[in-house]
Amino acid sequence: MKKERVKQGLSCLIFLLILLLVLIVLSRLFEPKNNREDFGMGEMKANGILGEKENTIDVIAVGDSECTTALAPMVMWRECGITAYNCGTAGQYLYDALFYLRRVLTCQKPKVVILETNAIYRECMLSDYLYAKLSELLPVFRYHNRWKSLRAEDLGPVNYTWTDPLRGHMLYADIEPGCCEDYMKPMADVRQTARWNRQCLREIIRLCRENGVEFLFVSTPSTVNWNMANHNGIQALADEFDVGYLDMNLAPEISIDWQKDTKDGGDHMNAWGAEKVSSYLAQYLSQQYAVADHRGESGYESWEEGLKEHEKAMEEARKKVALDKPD
Amino acid sequence: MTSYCSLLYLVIFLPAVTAVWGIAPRSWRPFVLLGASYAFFWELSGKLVFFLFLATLVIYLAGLRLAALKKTRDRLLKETQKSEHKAVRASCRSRQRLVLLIAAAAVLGILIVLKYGAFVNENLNALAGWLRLPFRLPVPSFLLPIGISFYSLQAISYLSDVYRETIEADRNPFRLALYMSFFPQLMEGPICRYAQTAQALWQGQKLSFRNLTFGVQRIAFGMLKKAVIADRLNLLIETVFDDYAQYDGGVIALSMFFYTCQLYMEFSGTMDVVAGSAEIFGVTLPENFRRPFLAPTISKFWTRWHITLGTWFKDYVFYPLSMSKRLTRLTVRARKHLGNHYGPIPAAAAALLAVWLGNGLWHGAGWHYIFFGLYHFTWILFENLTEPVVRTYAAKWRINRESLPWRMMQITRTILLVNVGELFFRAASLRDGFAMFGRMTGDFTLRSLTNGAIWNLGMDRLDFLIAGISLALVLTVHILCERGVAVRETVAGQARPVRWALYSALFLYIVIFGAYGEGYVPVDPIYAGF
Repeated sequence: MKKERVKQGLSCLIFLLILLLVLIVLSRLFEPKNNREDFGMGEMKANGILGEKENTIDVIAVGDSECTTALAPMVMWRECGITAYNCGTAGQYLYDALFYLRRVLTCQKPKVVILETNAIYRECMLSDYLYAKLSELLPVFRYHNRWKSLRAEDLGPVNYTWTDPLRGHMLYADIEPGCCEDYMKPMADVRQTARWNRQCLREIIRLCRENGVEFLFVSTPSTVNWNMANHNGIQALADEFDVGYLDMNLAPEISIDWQKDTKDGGDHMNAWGAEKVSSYLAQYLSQQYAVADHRGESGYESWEEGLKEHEKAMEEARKKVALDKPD
Repeated sequence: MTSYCSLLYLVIFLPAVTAVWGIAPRSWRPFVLLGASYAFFWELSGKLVFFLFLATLVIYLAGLRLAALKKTRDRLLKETQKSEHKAVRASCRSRQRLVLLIAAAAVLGILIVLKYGAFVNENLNALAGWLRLPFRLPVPSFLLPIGISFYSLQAISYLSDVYRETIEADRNPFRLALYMSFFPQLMEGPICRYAQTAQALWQGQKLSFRNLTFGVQRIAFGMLKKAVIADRLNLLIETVFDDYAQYDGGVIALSMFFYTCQLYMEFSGTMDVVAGSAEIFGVTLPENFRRPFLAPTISKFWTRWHITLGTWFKDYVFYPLSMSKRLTRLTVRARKHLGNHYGPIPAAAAALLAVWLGNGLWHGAGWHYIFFGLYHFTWILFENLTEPVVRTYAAKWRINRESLPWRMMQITRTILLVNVGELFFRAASLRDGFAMFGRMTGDFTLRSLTNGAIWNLGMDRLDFLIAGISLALVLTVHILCERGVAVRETVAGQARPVRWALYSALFLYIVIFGAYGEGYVPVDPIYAGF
């Protein structure tokens, strides 16, 4: 009887091992072979970092739409010669940020990782965390839907070639004035962080420490999403984990004009808000973290081209606003 | 944990409970299941677990009281003369009935207040406004404990069965608590009877290779229905139902068919996961579905669809009502005037009306659910009324009612009628249901199909292809089962390489073609919402 049970147990184990092997092979097949959308890569702008030259990025930012709209790496390049990449994505969860970072840190050795803090309050569910973890181990679970677009190249090796000239920044020319300029009224309330969010945060910070990377919380200006209770919650986390925290909502020197610098009534920064925020952040990183100035160095020519693209986009934004202005 | 098809349940919770249950000594196993069930409830509904505890406590105490009254009656019967027996029985019965009514009122009262409180007050306010009465009732907004509609019915069935003396009252509160809370059936049923599951749950038999493999096999088949078919069809269904005014009748008809299909695949798929989970623990749950779309009539359809709800209403509403003194008298009188076929119909119709009002309302607090119930009541009554006419004309025109064409015609008609009912069931309100039905019949065209607009409603051609192949697969299994083929045993009886190939193929099919992850919105379990 006991022999029979051992035999049955072994048979289950062998079956599971075979299945795992098949899943590993399928993962190789289904993984996008380039970081472009037409190769099946989602969130192409954020994944553009995979196409950057190895070890050329000094600052990596993760977070949700607050991050993608407010942090313009090209402004940081222009102001202080900082090579930054904005890996934020709309509605990003902390487990997304964790897995992005884990992937990116295999090919980049940044000096600082920035987490835009709005994502900390987007509650992570254990089920989604597990799915993200499983997809990281076996990418077929993430990319399974590519069965619709598999092609001969998918039998070949992975070769990421594309990068975003704006380095992940979403530049918006819209202006919709915000209100509630006194949204950061002092208060003692401390917003709590959900259980699985804390777990993800712990893993992100540990990952940075293991890789010798400085970690910094950054809250970009937003009258809709931010308040003093949120700030207090992040400050408590920063103290607990012994990491830096920069809340730009408490930095009047940035001079955000809520009539002009927001694209949607104080929720997100527009192109002009992002200019101010990124310029301030670049100075802060140069001074506090001594992030290197790479301007003029060989191997960084694409950053000058990116800056030109950025200036062109700003010019177009200005024209759009002029056109939209009522007579 | 959002559903039985979530990763958390399938990859963490169920394997962890199985492992602990498997290594625990036999006497501990029921407590492992009980602890896991309460932890499961807590994860989904937090402090609302109190309501489950309260319902269990009420039926436990009521059961003991009923048993005590029974014992007193038996003692009195022994001690008294035969001539007094009738009076003793009547006296005890009325006291037992009072206990039953109080306990049932407590269990149902919680359900009614939490689930229907807002609906009742909203409608009373609307009525008051219409009558220009100067009062407005507050419209409460309660959080519903998960599975309250299911465990409340289980509680009532336990009380009724103890009252009817078909089962003994359980003196073990833990066994009763496990019967009420067993985690695989907590969220979406099936609605079990005490006699069906309580002992098997408490037995804690050894984890066997057969139970484990058969359980996993059934779970995988359920996942095929849910993840590959139901969640894929949801893409088109949501697009159309959320903005039906934009679409022609052909598209609405298609989305109606898809919704019925989704509902079946979702619910029966989840039931497969539930039954498979229970099978791992050596517990056989009652089946909730038996190939309903092969039913020839609406009444037969309801003996194959959500079977445990149907039998609950039959046993605890229909029979008690139709056997009541008043309705029995009505039947006797009607038989004299209307004959043997039509005579029992008025009484049966009255009981049936209560059943279908209850069935509609059980699904939710909304007029479209009530309409859904009355819709099916009307068709079942219609079938009963027209049966002699159909029989007469079939004989007159020499139609063989057992022939394949006739059966196919019946099946097609039933499918169509069920689909129309589901349109109202899915619609956001009764008004939307009628508007969609109006568009479907008044503006029916195949234009969207011919001009390719159909491929832009959330599902592309390949989605249609995979849904079609998967449906064909499930239909084949259903037809084989209907013909008496033991599909599961046949697969399990194959040589190891064939068996492994089949299991791996099914698993990989779900992994690759499942509608989950990027590009798909997670679909909440439909029946857990009831």
